[in-house]
Amino acid sequence: MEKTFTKVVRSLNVHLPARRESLSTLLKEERPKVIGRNGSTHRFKNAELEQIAEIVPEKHHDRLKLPIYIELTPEFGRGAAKIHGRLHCDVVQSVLRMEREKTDELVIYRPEVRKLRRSLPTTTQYAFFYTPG
Amino acid sequence: MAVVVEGVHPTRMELLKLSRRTKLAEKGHELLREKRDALITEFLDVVEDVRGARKNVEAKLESAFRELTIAQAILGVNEVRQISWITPQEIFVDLDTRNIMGVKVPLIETGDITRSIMQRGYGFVDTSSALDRAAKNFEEALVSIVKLAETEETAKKLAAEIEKTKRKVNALEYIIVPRLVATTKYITMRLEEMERESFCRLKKIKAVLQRREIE
Repeated sequence: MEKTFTKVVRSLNVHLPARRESLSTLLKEERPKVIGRNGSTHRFKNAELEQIAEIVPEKHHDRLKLPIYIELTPEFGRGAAKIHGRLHCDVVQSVLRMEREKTDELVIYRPEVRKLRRSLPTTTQYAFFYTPG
Repeated sequence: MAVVVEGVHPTRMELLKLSRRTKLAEKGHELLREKRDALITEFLDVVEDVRGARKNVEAKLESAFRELTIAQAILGVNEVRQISWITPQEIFVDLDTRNIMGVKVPLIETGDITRSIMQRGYGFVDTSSALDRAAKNFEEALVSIVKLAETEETAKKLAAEIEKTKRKVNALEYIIVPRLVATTKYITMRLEEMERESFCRLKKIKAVLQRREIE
């Protein structure tokens, strides 16, 4: 049974890419995409990449890895999600029109997650995490 | 009342294992519930898009067919058909996939399908402006049809995944977790019972020994 649970939890994240690509690399590609751990292709919309490129200064395009993970963890309560990384938080704050502050971690709630997903459906992805113990 | 897991030995080791399993099952349940909620949110958004796209397609096709009928009335059905053969009929779509929580959904990019009058390939002398308008409306309708196809397929796939996830969540919530909790309770009670039994036994032995000493 334990094996089955571990398998179920692990299977929640098989769609995540084995390696995230930088914005600068993706902008150069004609068909920007990443390959998931299960071998599936996740294509980015060019319009979304351009939208992000306008938000993030060009000198940081190498450092911004895509897709942005919307981390869902039960420890924050139902529907709450976490965004990690300075540049990712910058993009999310800009898209959600939140007050811009320099932070490495941002907690957003369901209506904001929905708004973010509607604005950036291909450059964001859900990730499921849980802390053992 | 949940059924106790079969073939479990009422030992402390088993109790430890069970409590670990219960915690894992509860965590798994919480994560799957998060996934189900997120999938439903996505699904509702896609359904909204489908409704919008369908309305858009219907409106565009209605005006396109009206213009086509006018063009046929002016030029004649056969003439319009002949003109349609001259017009290039291929459109280029970029078909790929994207991933929503493990659900592979199509991503179709069409670029600009609408053509200029010159690109349509027929002359202006023998044709009517109604034909130009019909062609323009059909080209615009095509963009909406492609969008509709993408969103409808996405909605179908998400609905199937919601169904699967719901089943897993319900199995954990109503069968597996209650069964594990009931088994834990059974083992705890059994261990307590065994403790009481051994306590009584010791008391009896002590009483027998004391009696023997007095005799």
